[in-house]
Amino acid sequence: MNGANALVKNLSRRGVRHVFGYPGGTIMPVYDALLDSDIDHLLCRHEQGAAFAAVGYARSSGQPGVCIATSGPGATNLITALADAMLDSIPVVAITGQVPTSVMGTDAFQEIDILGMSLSCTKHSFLVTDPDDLCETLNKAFELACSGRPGPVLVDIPKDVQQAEARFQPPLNFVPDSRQSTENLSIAAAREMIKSSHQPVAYVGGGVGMADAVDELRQFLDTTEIPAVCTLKGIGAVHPEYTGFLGMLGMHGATAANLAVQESDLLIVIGARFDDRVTGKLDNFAPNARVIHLDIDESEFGKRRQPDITLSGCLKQNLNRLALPGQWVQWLATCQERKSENRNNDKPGNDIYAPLLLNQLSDQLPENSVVSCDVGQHQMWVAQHMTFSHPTNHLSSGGLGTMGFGLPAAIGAAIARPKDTVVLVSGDGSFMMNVQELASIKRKKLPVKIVLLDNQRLGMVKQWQELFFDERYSETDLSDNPDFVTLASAFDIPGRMITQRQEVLPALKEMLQAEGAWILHVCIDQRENVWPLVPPGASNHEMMTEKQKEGQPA
Amino acid sequence: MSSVMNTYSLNVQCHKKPEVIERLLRVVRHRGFDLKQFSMNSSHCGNQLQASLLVSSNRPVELLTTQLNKLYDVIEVQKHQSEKASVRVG
Repeated sequence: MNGANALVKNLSRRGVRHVFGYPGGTIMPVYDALLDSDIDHLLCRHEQGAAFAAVGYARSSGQPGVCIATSGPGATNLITALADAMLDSIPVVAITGQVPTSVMGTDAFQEIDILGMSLSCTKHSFLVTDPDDLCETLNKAFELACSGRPGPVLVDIPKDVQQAEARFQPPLNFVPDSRQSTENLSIAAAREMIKSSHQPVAYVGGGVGMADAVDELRQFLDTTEIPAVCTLKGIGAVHPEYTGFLGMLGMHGATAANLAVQESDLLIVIGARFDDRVTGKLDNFAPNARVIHLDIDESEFGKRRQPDITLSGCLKQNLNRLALPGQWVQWLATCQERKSENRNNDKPGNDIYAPLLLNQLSDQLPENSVVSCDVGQHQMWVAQHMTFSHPTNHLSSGGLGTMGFGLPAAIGAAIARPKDTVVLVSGDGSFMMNVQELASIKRKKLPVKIVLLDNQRLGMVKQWQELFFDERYSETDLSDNPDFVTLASAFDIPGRMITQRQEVLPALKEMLQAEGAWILHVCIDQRENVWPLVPPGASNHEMMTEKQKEGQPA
Repeated sequence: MSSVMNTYSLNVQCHKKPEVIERLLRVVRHRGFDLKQFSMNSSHCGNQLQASLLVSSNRPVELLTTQLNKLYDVIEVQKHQSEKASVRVG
C-alpha cells in the first residue's frame, strides 16, 4: 500500500465521509486513492472555497472538516480559511501535496514553503518526510484539531511520500481532553463571589458550543437566573426564550446587553476572550465588575482583562458546580425592561427593511435550520434580528471577519446536515468573493437557499466612511454589480428579485417551498446602516443610535 | 498596557523539529516582545532543544509564556528573574 492509499484508508476508517478539495500535480496520488474509497469528495471551484466548506462542515456538525489541495497556489489558497478557523477555533485538517523531497528547496514548479506560511494560522502543521510516519501524523493531526481549544492543523505531504510504500496505521480513539475541572478551592471562591454579587452578568462566548456545553450553560442560567449576553460566536448557546437573555454585546450589540455589562458588578465570562469588538474601550469595559473567567485555553486568562478567579478545564463540570439558585430578581427585571424598550427591527415605508426581512425569515424557518452569513452589515443584522436555538445553526466568520465565507460555509453545512434547511444570507460585496462556488451547489444539487441583501455598496465600509470619514466614499460603490438572478440561473439556480416590502413574505415562502437551491435577490436602500454602533475608541455605554445620528432625541 | 519595559529571561525546552525555532521566534515577535539574546543547544541525546531567550516588552511576560506553552513541540517554559532593571520609556 502506498502512502496515499494508507492516508485515504486512515481517513475512511476514522469515519470521514466527506472531504472538500481541488486536485493538482503533487496531490494526484491522493486523488487517485480517493477514487477507490467510500469517501465523498466535493470538488469546489477554488481551494479557498474548499477550505471554507470544510469550516462550514465542522461548524454545523461539530465534526472536524477536511480539505485537500495541491502544492504551491493550491496550498496558499487555503491560508485565508485556515486563518479564519484559527481565530474562531474550528477543527479542520488540511492536507496538502508538496513537491518531491528530492527537489524541495530548489524553487521547483508549484513549490512553496507552506509549512512556514502556515505557522501563524494553524494550531500546528506537519511535514511528512517518512511514508511510515504518514498515518501516525494524521492521527496526531486529528487529535490536535479536536482536542483542547480546537483549531486547524495542516499536513504537508511530498508527492514521493504519497507514492512510496507506507505502513498503514488505523486511527486512534483518542480520549478528548477531560482534564479535571478546577480545584475545589477556586470553585468555592467563585460560588462565594457569585453569591455576594448584586448585579451579575453571564458573558457567553463561542467556547460554550465548542465544548458541547450548551445544555450545562442553560441549566446554569435556569438555576441562577443571571442575565446573559453573548458574543457573535456565542449566539445560539443561550436559549432564545431564556428570560434573562439580553442579546449580543459589543460594537453592534443590543443596548440592553451593553448596559447590563457596563453596570454589572460581576462578569462570569464563559468561553469568551474579551475581543476588542466586544469590549470597546477596554479600560472602561464593565468598569465596576469583578471577573470570573472560565476557559479551556489558559492563555486567554489575563490577556485583555485580569480576572479575579480563573476556572480552566472542563467547562461542563465547572458550569454544573457553579449553578446555585438565583437571588437577583430586581436586577433581572431592570435588564428585561431595557430589553423590551429597545427592539428596532421595524421601520415605516415601502422599501424593504433588511432587519424586518431577517426577522420574518427567522420566523418562517423550520426549527434547526442553519444560517450561514458573510461579513458586513448583513452579518450584523443576522446577529441582531434572527433567532438561533444552537450555536451550530449560526455560521459567521467572527475573529477574522472574512468576506466570502458564507457561500462555501453554507455548502459545507448542506453536506453535513442534508435533512436541515440551509440558508445563506449574504451581501452583494461578500457574495462575489467566492461566487464560483455556485458551481459546487449545482454539482451536488444542494438545496441551499440564498438571500442576497443588495445595497450596491460595500455597506459596512460605506457606513464608516459616512460616520467617521466625512462622507468621503472611497471605492465602496458597487452599483455595477451583475444581475444576480441571471448569474445564478447560469448555474441552474432559479430565483427572484424583489424591491418592495409587500413582496417579502410571499417571496420568502416561495424560496422555502422550492425543492432545490434558490436565490432571493433583495434590493435594499444603501442609506440603511447598522444600529446601534459603539464608535471606535468609545465605551460600550456610549452607543450611537440612528436617532442620535439624525439629530433626534435618543 | 504598561509603559514600563521589562526584560525577561526564558528557557524553553522543546522537541527537536526543523521548524521549532521559527515557531518560537514568531510567537515572540507577534506577541509584542523584542528579542535581545538567543542561544540554543541540543539535549536528551539530540532529541530535544534547549533555547534560552532574553526578551523585553511592556507587556506582562505571562502573555508570552502562555502562548509558548501552547506550541505542540514545546515541552516546558521556565521563566527566570530578569537581571536587568526595568526602564521607563516615553
